[in-house]
Amino acid sequence: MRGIVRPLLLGVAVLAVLAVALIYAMARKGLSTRVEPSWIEERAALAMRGLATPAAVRNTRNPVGKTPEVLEAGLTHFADHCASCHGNDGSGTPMGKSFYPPVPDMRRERTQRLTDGELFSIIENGIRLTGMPAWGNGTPEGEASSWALVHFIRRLPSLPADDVARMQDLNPKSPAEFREEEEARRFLAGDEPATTPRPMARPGHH
Amino acid sequence: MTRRMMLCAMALASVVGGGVAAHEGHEHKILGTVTMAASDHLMLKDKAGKDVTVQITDATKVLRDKKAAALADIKAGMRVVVTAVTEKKDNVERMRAKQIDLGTLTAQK
Repeated sequence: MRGIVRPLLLGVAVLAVLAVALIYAMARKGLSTRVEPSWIEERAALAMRGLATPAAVRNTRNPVGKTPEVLEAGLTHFADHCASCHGNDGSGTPMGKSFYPPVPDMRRERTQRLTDGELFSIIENGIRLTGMPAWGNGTPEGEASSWALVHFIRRLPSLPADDVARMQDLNPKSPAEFREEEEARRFLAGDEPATTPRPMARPGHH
Repeated sequence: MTRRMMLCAMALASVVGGGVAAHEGHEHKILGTVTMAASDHLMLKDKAGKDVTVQITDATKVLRDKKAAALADIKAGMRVVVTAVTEKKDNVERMRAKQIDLGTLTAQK
């Protein structure tokens, strides 16, 4: 009995020290999302991603044919719904990279090695403890759209620059962004002066 | 005992976090005319008449009319729109070009 008490007390003491150090670190630095997630949090997010896929769906192969129409629908859908966080090329936007954990670079192995069923399930059901929402609406049309997205995600590692550029016209834009784009278009076409004179300072104004 | 302490320290470090900044600067567009083009950077005069330098990397995309173009297509006197992000490296702020859209070539004086 005595042999167990000592290691047990030591274990409790170590946990107490860790807890105090953790609370101290949190109180001193706060809990910012502007750091890389620790491996515990990364493991938790990956575990959640694993649990997000029902076993029956995991090995399901994409039932939607890879036709040009389906690939185009996937591209359009991705540009409209996914690109604001994942980027048109799947590398992640500044906003997506500021999530905690940040969105993955979908061109890389960690995403590409997921099965069709896992990608489909993530799109449909989202991933808890991350910024990934559930896009599924329970309709056959919605599921077909998600399978088209799975086809598109497979294209990301070798997506041509022309397609990425074309997607910019399909991204959701605010009126201010429309104005900015129009200004850029007119500037590139030479319809605007190369430099705009700065307004002169008004006399007597500091 | 030393081993135990090392394990505790590693566990604590993993919980507290690495401390590496993950945040990237916001994207912004620079409308300007190229004054000098090199393989790793671009100098331009922006619409306000200010001289601006942007860094070019392997990931920088060059487009003309939304179709892929080459870095070699960029010439002095060409109007460009650069989509850039501000980065801080070794305490020096610099702009990294993510995309360069090419426009008309105006005559150099």
